Amino acid sequence: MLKKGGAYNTDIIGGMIMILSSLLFYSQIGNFTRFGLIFPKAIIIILLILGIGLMIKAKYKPHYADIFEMEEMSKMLLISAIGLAWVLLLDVIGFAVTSFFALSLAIYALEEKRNMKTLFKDFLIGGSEVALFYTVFSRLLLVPLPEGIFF
Amino acid sequence: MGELLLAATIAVFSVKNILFMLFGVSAGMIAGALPGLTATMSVALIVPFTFTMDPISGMATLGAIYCGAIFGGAFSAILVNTPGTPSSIGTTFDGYPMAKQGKGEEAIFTATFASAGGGLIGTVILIFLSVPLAKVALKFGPPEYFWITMFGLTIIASLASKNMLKGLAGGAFGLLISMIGIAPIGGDVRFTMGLPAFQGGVQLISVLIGFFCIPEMLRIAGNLSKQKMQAVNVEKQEGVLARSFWNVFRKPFNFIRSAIIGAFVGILPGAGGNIANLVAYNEAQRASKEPETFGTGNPQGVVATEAANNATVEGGMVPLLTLGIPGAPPAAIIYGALMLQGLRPGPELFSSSAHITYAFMVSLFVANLMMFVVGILGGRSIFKIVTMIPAKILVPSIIFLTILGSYSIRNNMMDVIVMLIGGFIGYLLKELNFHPGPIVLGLILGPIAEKGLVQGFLMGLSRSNPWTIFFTRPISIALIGIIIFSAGWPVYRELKSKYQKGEN
Amino acid sequence: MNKKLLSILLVSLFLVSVLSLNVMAEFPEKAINYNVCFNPGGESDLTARAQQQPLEEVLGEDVVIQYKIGGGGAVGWSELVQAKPDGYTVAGFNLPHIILQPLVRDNPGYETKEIKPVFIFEATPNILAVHKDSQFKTLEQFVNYAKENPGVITLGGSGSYSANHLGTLEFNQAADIRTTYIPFTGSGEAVPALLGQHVSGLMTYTTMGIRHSDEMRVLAVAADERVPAMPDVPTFKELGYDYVEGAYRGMAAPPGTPDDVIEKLAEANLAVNEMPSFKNKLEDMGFQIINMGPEESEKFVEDRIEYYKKILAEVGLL
Repeated sequence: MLKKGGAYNTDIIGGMIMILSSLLFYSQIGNFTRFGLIFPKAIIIILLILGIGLMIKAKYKPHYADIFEMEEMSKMLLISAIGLAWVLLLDVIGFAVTSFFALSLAIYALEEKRNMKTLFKDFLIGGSEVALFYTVFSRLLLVPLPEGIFF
Repeated sequence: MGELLLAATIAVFSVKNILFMLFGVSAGMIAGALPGLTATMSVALIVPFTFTMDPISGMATLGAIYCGAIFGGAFSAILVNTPGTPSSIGTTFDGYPMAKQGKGEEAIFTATFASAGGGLIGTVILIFLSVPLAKVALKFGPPEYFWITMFGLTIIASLASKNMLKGLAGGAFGLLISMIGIAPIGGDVRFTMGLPAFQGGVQLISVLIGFFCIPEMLRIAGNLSKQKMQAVNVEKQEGVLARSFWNVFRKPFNFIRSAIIGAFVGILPGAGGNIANLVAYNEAQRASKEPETFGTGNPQGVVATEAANNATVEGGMVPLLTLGIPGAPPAAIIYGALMLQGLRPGPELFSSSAHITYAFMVSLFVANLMMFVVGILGGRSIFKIVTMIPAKILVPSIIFLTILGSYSIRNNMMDVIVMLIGGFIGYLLKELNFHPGPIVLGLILGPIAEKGLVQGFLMGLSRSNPWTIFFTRPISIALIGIIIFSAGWPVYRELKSKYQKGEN
Repeated sequence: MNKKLLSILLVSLFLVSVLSLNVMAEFPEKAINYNVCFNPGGESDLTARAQQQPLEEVLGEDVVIQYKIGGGGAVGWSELVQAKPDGYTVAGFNLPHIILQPLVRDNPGYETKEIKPVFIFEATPNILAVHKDSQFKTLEQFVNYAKENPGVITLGGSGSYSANHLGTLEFNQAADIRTTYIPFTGSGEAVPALLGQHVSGLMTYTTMGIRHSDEMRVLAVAADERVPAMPDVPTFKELGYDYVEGAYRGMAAPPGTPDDVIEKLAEANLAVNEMPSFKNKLEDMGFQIINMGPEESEKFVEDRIEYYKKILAEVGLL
């Protein structure tokens, strides 16, 4: 039973993930040397067994939980999307510029009241944060940061 | 030795050195608190500056940064559930729940006292017991390291006591991921999914940030109005300092035992201080009269992990100073700095360069003393700042810091991507009731276990059955005994309580 | 109209050539990123750190050391070959690693010929070391024991498909013995194994022999001539075994880096190697100072490629 009154059977889903992971890694076994093979084989088999064990438990003594239960899932998804875009665009556009937009927009996304005033305020906050850390890391500590079209 | 110590103490207490060490402890604390900046990196960043200093000042500064960084990891562990350094993984287990219950400041101060105190004990062990301890450490070869990792895996039993299957699966999952990269024996390229960047494996820090921090950030993002992060009754916490102090010293056994565990694990090169805090946590839970409170905000959990991880700093110096073998990556950097100063780690350090060596050890002692003060002042400020910032600004800012931090590991975008994707996976697994502890444990222990297994096998090749080498060495046998005890203890306890219930 | 156009064209051509001349003459104008592809505290790191200040002196700009660790150097080198070839990103490179990895791995992320050598500045020949309490006082005793007890002797070393690993195989061939090579992740892990007597001996680098000279006995060194830092240690050649092997380290630039930039960097490396303070420091630690410029290094690498292809075929690893 996958669902029970809105809650999900975590054992089924968890078990599936474990089984799929072990199968994925199994498919990736290439031309391994004798020594390089011992450990992976053992772990893949163990994980597979545990995954199957979870599936069995899912039938007899399942654990149900409300997954991703929260007030405003839209906010969580927004942050996830912004985060993903942020990471993917770092190399393309450059650290400071990407972070400036992403950080400010992320704060804006979490605002209760969204209007031009808060948008402006959030860009100000984002701008100063990015400026501070960029200066410290890139100029002071000489840590190279991703550069793209811009910096 | 007495006069040496005296001379060393005088050398350390110059105004210049005190200032350097103060800077070191503070800078280390900040670096350690930033997720992604590890102790190793912080020490490495400052090494070039120490070339212009005299040896004692340079070493004292590096040592202070190291101590501060390991301590600093507790801050982010407590405030945002992110181990600032891998040695603070265990601090999230009880530190963050404490913060969520409004006891954040108490958690931070407890961590401060435990860290500084644990470091002091570690330094004492370093000064007086280095030579015999180093000899013991050498006796640990590949088979012993394998058994240590097996012991480490039994910790999963206590971390996931309510969900054994999921805990074990999580551990195996962690072990699986740890195999990505080059095989330690044989040099095979494994599971890199066609990406050259994966040849180095999955970076521990990326996964730590991903598994511990991102899920919390996403959860908070979705529950903003419920989020009054630790700001509850901040003003009313008057006796916090005293209470934290007593947290540590009221149960001296926990505190001292954890520090000793930390020092010992730190002595083993290659075992890594990353495990020490988890072993100490495990033992604290086992010895406690209320083990089920661990993981819900029991201060003793924080005491155990923080005392242990700071003691590993000094423990890692034991093989370094006596044999020239660093016990942990930051010690390796300090080693490099020593060599470039013309000093040779090894017996020479205790004879011709003894004044520098003893001064270094004393400076570690002093740095830990400083941590009491710096930690309390800094902790109070950081705590006030973090609780003042509204969640809508804090969450994106933390994400910003994690991106910065994971990139600065080795300037590889892959690490940032792994961090975020790991975050999504970690979030899903968390919702499915998989505790992140076992997964991370598997990730850390995997390479050590594999090396121990295969190197041990190679060692035994000359025998008719190579595998016997794992069962015929005295330390191995002792470790196997400990493992059986450790794994069997929860079972024994369960049976005992059932028996007692049955009698009634 | 045409005259105006022509003169504008000529002037701009002139300006462009002057400006580009300037650009080339001014290298370096900003900080140079020097990537170290191995763990801190290791031989590559120690060399780079020792070079840092002298290089800054000679080049007149900051030299920033970055760690790009992973895959035995492969991660760092695969990044190097994709970096901008303007001379502001260089990395330490190691032989035989950059030769063996592309030969043996499917996708290390780079090709040997993509790594443009600027200079080869030091080498650490292999040494055969045993514990100071070991029964073997001379190489001959060691070889005799190995002949009588094939497979019993275990030799630890750093890495698989590394100088230590191949060296063990080469020595096995040269002495007609059978020893078991046990790879460790770095010399730093191999040394405790010897000190704790978990392995019979180490096939490691000269630097380890110097560092731990109190605890180890070095039976022989795999160099053409005796190493100054260990004057009492005979070479394998002297003792009758045709075995010369070790790791060479140098500085490399991304493919396509302009020749004059490479020249400038090579000159700087040579200058640093000739500074007595630097030379003595490295030689005391057990390094052999080597001075091979860009063309010489490239030829050397090509020769070694052929050499290793042969060796790998002989021991059946290819």
